[in-house]
Amino acid sequence: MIARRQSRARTRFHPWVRRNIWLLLCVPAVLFMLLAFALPLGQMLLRSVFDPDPTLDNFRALVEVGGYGRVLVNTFRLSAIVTLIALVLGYPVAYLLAHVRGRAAGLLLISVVLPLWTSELVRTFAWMIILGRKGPLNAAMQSLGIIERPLTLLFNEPSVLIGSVHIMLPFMILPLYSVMRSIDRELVRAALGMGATPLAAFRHVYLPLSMPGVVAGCLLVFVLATGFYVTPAALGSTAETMIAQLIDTQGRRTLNWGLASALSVVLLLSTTIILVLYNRVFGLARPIAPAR
Amino acid sequence: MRGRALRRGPRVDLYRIGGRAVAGLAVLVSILMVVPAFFTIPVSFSATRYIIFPPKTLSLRWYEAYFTIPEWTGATGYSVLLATLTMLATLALGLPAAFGLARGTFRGRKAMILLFVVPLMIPVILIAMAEYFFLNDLGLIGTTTGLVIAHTVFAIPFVIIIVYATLQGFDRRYELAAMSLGASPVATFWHVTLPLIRPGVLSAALLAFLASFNEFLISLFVIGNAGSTLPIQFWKGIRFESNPTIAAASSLFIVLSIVTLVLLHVVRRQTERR
Amino acid sequence: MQNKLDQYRRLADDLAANRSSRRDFLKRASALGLSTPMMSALLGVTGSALTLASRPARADSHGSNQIVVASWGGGFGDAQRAAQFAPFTEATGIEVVLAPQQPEIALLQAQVESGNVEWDLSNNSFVGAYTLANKGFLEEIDYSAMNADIVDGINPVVRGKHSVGIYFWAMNLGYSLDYFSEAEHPTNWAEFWDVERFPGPRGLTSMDFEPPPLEVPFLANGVAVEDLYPMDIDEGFELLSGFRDHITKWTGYSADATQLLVQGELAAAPGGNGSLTNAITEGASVGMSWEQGLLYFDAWVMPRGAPHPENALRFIEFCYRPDVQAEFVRRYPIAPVVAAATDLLAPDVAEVSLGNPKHLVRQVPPNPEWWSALNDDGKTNLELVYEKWATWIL
Repeated sequence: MIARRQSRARTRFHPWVRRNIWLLLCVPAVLFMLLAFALPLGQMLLRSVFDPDPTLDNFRALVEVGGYGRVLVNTFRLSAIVTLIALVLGYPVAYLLAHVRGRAAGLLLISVVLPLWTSELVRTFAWMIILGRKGPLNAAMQSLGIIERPLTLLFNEPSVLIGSVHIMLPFMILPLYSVMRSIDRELVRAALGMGATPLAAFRHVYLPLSMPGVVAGCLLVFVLATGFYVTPAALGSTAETMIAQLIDTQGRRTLNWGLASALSVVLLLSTTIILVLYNRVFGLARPIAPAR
Repeated sequence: MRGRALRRGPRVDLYRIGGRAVAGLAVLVSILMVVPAFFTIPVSFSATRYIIFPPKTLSLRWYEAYFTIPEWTGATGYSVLLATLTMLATLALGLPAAFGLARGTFRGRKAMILLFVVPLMIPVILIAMAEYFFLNDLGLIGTTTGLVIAHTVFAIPFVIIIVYATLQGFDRRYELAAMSLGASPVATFWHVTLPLIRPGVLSAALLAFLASFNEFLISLFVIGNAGSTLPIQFWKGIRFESNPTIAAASSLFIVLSIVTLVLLHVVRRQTERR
Repeated sequence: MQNKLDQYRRLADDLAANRSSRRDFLKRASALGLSTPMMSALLGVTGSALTLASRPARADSHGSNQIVVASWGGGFGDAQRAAQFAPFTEATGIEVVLAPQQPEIALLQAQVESGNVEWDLSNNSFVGAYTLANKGFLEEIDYSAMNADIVDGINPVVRGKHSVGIYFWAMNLGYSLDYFSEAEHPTNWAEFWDVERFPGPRGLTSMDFEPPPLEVPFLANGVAVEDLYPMDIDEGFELLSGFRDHITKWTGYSADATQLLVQGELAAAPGGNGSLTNAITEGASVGMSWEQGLLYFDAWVMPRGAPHPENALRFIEFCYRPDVQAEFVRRYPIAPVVAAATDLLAPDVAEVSLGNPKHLVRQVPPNPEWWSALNDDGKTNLELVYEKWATWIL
C-alpha cells in the first residue's frame, strides 16, 4: 500500500521533471536574476561606450578631468582606511562573540545585529547630532575639561570615517564570527599546554586559523564602502566626495548617463577584481549569513 | 549587565590572550555600535524648528508632525507596502531556489549561488544603476512594480542565504520517516519540513522586509514620480529640511526595531524549547 | 545702471505701498528692460518642492479631481500646505498632491521630453523659469481664464507669459551668535569674505542650486551693485577659488544653512530670509543682516502637457487672493507679490517680512536678463555656471 502510494506520487510528474526537480525549483529565481540584475549590469558596460554614440569620451573625461580621478582615488583610499579601522575594532568583538556563552553572547549578538536593522540614514543623522559643535560629545569633553572650546567635528575626513566605520562594523564582525566559531579551541589549548606564551599561541595558531574571516570581512567591507553615498554626503565636505555621489550627480541630476555608466564601470571592475580574490581565498558561495 | 558580560568574558575560554583588555575593548565597541542611534530621541522632543541637543523646551509637535504631515505618513505607508510586496516576491522566488540549491547536485549549482549572493557583495550604487537602466527600458520607472523588482534583486540574497543555511542543518531523516509512513511529498513538506524550518523562513522573511524597508539608494534612482519612501523622506529631512521630524521618525523606528528584535528572540526561544 | 537700480527700488517701494497703478507699473517695468515676453520667460518656471505625494502609484495622479505640484519642503512646505493647499482643497474639492521630488529643472525637462508629464505646476526660481520657457518646456499661462481682479492684483513684474511669480525671497547673510555679537558681526558680503576681522567657518550655497549665488564673490570683492552685471563666470569662480579653503560646508539655501548656523558649525553663511527669521523668532543664537541680500522670486510654471491644466489655473488663481497671500506670509516671512496682501498683515509680521519696504530697498535686485541670456553655444548663463561648477567643485 505504501509502495502503491509512492508510485502514484512518482507518476504525477514526468520522470525528467522528477529527476531535475531541484534544478527546476531554481529556474524562476535564476531567470529573474539574469534578467533583472546580470543583464542590466552588462547593459551599463555597453552604455559607458555607446552613450550617446560609440565613443571612449566618457572614459577619457575620467582621465582628463582631474577632479574625477581625485574622487576615484579618494573613494578607494577612504574605503581602505574604513576597512582597516573596522578590522581593528571588529576583531575583538567577533572574538568575544565567538567564545563567550550564555546571556552575554545574546547581548553581544544583539549589539551587532541591531545596527543592521536601523536605517543607515537614521544612524548618519545620529552622528550629525553627536558630532555637532553643541552636541553631546563636545559637551562631555568640555565638562571633563579635555577641551576649553567646542571643536568642529563635522564635515571633515574623521567624521566620514567615524560614520562609515559604524555602518560597516557588522559586515566585518559577522564573517569573522562565523569563521572563529568553527575554530577548534583545543588547538590553542594544545599550544598553551606545550608551553607557548598566550601571544605566541595567538599569533601562530589562532590568527592563522581566523585569517579566512579576516580576508572575507575586509573584502566585503571594502567593496561595500566604495559604494557609500549617504555618509560622505551628510557627514563630509566636498573634499570627501565619493564615487557614488558623482554617479548620482552625473546620472540622475544632469542626465549624463554615459559618464555615470563609465564611473560605474570603473567601480564594477574594481569590485570584480576584489570578488575574484575573495572567491579564491574564501569561496564566494559560502554564505555570509549571520548566525541565527 | 554589560559589566557582567565583561566579567564573565575572560573566564570563558579567552585563552588568556589579551584577557580583560581585549574583552573590554570588544564590549566598548559593541556599546558604541548601539548607543549612537539613541541620541536622536532627546532631539525628537524639541519644541523648536531647528535641531538642538539637548532641546531647551520640550514638546510633542514633531511626533504630531510625523503622524499628520502627508509626506511622512504617505512615505511610511508606501514603504510598508513596498517592503511587504518585496518580501512576498522574494520568498516566492527565493524559497524554492534555496531548496533546489540545498538539495540538488546539478551542474551550475555553484554559479547559481554566486548569482544570488553577489547583490549583497557589490556596492549598492551599481544595483541602483543597473535597475535604473532595466526599469527605464521597460517603462517601469516610478511604478510600484518597478520598485518591487528592484528591491527584490537587493533582498533575494538574504532569503537564499538564510533558508539555504537552515536546510543545511536540517535532518532529512524526519522527512524520510514521514514518507515511509505513507505521507506524500507535499504532505511531508507541509507537515514536517515547513514547521521545522519555520524559524529560518521567518528570519528570512523579516530580513527581506527590512532590506526593502531601509533601502535608500536604489529607490532614489528608480522612484521617478511614485510616492516617496521613508528612507528618501529621511534623506530630504537631513539634506534639505533640517527639522526635528526626522528625529521623531528615527526614534519611533529605533524603538520599533528593538521591540521586533526582542519579540523575535522570544519566539525563537519558545520554538527551541519545543 | 545706477539709474535703473533706483528705478527698481522705487518700483519696490511703490509695490509695498500699493501706490502704483498697473499701467504705471508696466510702463516702468518696460523702461527697466523688462519687456513682457522676456519677463514671462524669466518668471516662469517652476515649482517647488513640496515633496512627496502620498500616493504610491502613478495611476492615482491622473485622477481628474486633483493637481500634482512640485515644490520645496521644510518650513516653507509647511506654510504652503497650510496657507495654499489645504484651503484650496477645502474651497474647491480639488486635492493637491505633492510630487515626490524637488522641482529641479532637469526633472521637469526629462518629463516633457519623455512625454510622461506628472507635474501640473512646479515652483522654480526666476532663472530656472526662463530657461524652461526659452526651450519650449512650458505651457502659456492663460490669464483670461482667471478672475480679472485677481490677475490685476498680481505685481506685473512677476506676471509672465509662461509663469507667475509666487513671492519674493532673499538670500541674506546669516551669522551665528556663538561667534559674533549683535553689535559686531559681518553685515555684508565683503565682511563675510573678511575672515581676519570676522574669523570662523563659512558656508556658501552650492552653485548647482537655483539660482546660484555667483553675485556673492563679486560683491565681496568690492564690485558695486550697479556694476555687477554682466558677470564674468570664470572670474567669479576664480574669486571663489581664493576663498574656498574657508568654506567648511557647501549648503542648500534654506533650512540646512540655518541649521548649521544654529548649531554653530558655521559662523556665517547665506540663508533664505524666511528660515533665518523663523530661527531668530524661536530664540536660536543666530542673526541675519538685511544688507545686500540677493533678492529672488520664485514662480509657478506649468510643464507642457500638464495633466490637469484647468485645475492648475484654478489653483494659481486661488494663490493670488490677497487673504491667501497674507496667510502665507504670516507663516513664512517672505514678500507677497500681491500688494493688497501687505495691508492684511499685523504690524509685527510686517516688520520682519521681506516685503517691508525698509528691508526691500536694501536687497540686490534680481537680474533675470543676465542669468537667462543665451550664449553662442545656445546655453544660458545659468547653464554655464552649472557646468563650470560640476568640475570646479571636485
